[in-house]
Amino acid sequence: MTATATPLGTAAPLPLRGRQWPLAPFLYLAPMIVLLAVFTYWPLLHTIYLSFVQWNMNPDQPMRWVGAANYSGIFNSPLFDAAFRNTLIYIVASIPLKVLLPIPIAIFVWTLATRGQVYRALLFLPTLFSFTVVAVVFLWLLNPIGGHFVQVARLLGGQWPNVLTDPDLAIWTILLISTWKVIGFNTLLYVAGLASINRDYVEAMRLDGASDWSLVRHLLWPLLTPTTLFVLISTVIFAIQQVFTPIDIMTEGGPQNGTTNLFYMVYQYAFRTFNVGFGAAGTVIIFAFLLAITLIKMRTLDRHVQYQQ
Amino acid sequence: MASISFRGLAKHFGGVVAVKDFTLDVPDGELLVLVGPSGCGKTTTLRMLAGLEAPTAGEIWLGEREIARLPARERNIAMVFQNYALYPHMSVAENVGFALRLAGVKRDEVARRVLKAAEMMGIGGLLERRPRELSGGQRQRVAVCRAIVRDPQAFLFDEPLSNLDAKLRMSARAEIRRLQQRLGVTTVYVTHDQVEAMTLADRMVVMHDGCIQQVGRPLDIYARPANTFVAGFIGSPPLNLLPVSLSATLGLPQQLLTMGSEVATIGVRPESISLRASDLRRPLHLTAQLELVEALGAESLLHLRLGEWPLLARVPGTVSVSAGDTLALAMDGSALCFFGNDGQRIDDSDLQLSLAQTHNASVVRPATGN
Amino acid sequence: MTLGTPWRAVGHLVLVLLCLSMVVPLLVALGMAFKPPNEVYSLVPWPQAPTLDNFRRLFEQVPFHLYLWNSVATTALRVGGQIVIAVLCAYAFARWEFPGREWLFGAVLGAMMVPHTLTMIPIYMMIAELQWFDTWRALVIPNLAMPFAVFLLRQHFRSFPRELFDAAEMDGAGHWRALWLVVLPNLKPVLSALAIILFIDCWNEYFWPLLVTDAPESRTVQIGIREFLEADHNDFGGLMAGVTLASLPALAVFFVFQRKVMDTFVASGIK
Repeated sequence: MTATATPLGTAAPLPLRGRQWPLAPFLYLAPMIVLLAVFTYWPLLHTIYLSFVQWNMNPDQPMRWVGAANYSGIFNSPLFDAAFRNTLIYIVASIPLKVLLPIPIAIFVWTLATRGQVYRALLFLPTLFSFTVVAVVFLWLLNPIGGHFVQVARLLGGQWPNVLTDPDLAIWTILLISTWKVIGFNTLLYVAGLASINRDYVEAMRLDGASDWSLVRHLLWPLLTPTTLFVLISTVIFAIQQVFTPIDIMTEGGPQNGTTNLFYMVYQYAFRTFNVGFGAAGTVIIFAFLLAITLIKMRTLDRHVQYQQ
Repeated sequence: MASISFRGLAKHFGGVVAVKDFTLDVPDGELLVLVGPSGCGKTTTLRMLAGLEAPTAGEIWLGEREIARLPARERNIAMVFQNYALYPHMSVAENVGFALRLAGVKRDEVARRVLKAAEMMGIGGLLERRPRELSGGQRQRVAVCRAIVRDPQAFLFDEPLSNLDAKLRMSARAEIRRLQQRLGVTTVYVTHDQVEAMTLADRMVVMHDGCIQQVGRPLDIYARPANTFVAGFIGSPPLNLLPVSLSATLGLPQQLLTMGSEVATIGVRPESISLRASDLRRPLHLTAQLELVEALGAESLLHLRLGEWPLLARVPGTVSVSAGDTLALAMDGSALCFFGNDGQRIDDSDLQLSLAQTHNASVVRPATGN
Repeated sequence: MTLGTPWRAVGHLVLVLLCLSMVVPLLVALGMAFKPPNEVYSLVPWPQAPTLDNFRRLFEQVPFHLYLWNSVATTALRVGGQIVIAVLCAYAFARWEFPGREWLFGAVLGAMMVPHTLTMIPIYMMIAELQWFDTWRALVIPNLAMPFAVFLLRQHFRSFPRELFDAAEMDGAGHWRALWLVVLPNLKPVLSALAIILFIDCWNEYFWPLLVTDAPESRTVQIGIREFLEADHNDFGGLMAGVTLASLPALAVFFVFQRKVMDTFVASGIK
């Protein structure tokens, strides 16, 4: 029996009029959304458009539609051949050095628990310094006249080659320097991944009689696969974008295009020779390349990724 | 202090109707309890009253103001949350005084009022602590303290005792009752625990599927449930609901089936059944199989079976029976409820009268009458 | 998990070598900054007769003080702006239900996937048109939107009890005041971590400042090092002085807040 109500001065209840949804959240979101629209999404589309035009950044000169001519121009240039080859070298060589090598190191650090504090702090050190600083420091260490490497080699009776002017060696030099920069951080990423593994799993395996190697192979490695994948992707992106800095400071792409990569190539096209069309097309090519790698990863590796319950 | 009125309050979430046409008057100073199972709409109704949920339709009156469209902070209502919602980065004193400071009350005035409220709640010594340093019971007190210090026109409680252990719940329950009576503030209290509802409420609203099933004083609802849902929900243990086909087994006269409106279900209170040997006054006789005895000391719960139907009896003290026995029982006819095909209770005084007359033993009419 | 002794020894050896290789080059650079020219080629990392002369030459050759100031100002502006915008954004997503919420959230996080290479040319063109070259605007504004920060904040908002929003509302705090008085005080750890990450990211940036600044007075410190290198590529002492100065702030910021960064990384769980 519902209580019968005596109306307090109004007739039948009115349905609510006016706004159903609050305005406030949109105000809070506005800066981010506007910025993303202007500086991320619109440029994304514009770049694709630009890859089909020819222009030299001169406001007095109009853009000319050239269709796919930019792409064919790039693919046919020797710069592209070198850049693409080098990019592949950077990426493929980075995998064992930056993605796989940190894993056993991380496992060891992880077993040290709190005793590994010092190691962890030192491993993080190169991350704090800019790549500029790192490049410059190694520029000195590798200096053919008085650098430390040269001097130590001399002391040992050998000779230290001029790694940065040798077309074949230069790229490996830069590769090793970038490994130096990043290996500590990647190791710590893996340590973080290991730290998030539920101890119960480890203990259960131990009770089942697992040896150290079994533990690694059947528990740690599978549960590290998400982290591994993450490190893999960031390493690939790193190998394309971040190596720009040492390339620019140490060799400027040379000698004889020995260290250039796709990104540096784009930089040269767009901002050195001001060939906007080539630059934009190059960017799209890089993106397609990354997309291809992602797809390959999804097809082959994603199936093996294991997540904890 | 103010009275509250709900007029046709409703809430739709997309296609789901959470609250249907809630209309009710709550006089100033009353402790009203909304009780019902999960999903019945009681919390949604409370949140609409608080201003945390916008109604789809209807009006809410607090005193002279219609507040259904007002933002929560303009309503002058205080709320105690299920998980207390104490600000973790503030001390107890800051938690309690937060609303006052936001309203611009001067520091010393805030401190004075906080101290007074804290002493009323017995937490005066905890004012400098952080919430994480407090026990569950203490946090609950702080949450209540935060509400009372504001001197609002109404208190809202959203299942504030559900996170406390059983013992604490009982003492906290009594405290809230005493507090409300002392302060005299109109209070709306939501719980799924019908024992809490029965003990706290001046009046109780039983809800189900977004609708009000029954409104009334707890004992009235207990004695005369409006329908089978309320009958099965209220009471611990709840009413036994049996089909009318068992009326003969229960010792009831055949006329029941033909008298007045159609009876479909019979409600039997567990405490109205006793062992025949111990209560000669109870006129209705029946026998049932005993399946299980729960001996609680002060009383015993007998899980019986009447043919294929379960029956629960509540008898005082300890009884010497064992599972498997066939028991001779006696039942009090005046405490029976009858429900029609639609589940609604049949309020038929003729029925009751004839029940009384058909038996030889005199039936003592309960004081509440029909 | 414990390891047998031989393995442990190997592990420690490898790590010591690795860490040495990290530390030694940096120490050498630091030492070089204080070495007089005659000691520059000495293999001993620390100077026998330390001098501040390299710093003097550094500031004479290039306006390094300007570079430092530019870096400080633009980094402060940018990191401050990034945090404010990201907090507002994450708060909106955490607190309200509104039409298009899921979609907008996807759009924000999706922007994380768009590599900078893909957007840099049109942004450069915009900067040219707006004549923002050599100004702080070019360095700060295009980078103010940081979806990564929103992502990190969202993880923490997830563990934020929603009832607190209701309680604040009942206590009389509108959404703005609730943000300042209730939400932000509880976000201190993640905000510190975010500040450090964003600071280091901005301070160490090379590519973008290289593109959009040209005039010597408007360079940032990283480009400034390059400027010095080009001005005098034999003055390694001066160069290392510049390198030392350029690295101090990041180091300082890090050592003060070290714990928080590590904890947040572990807590948010790398997928």
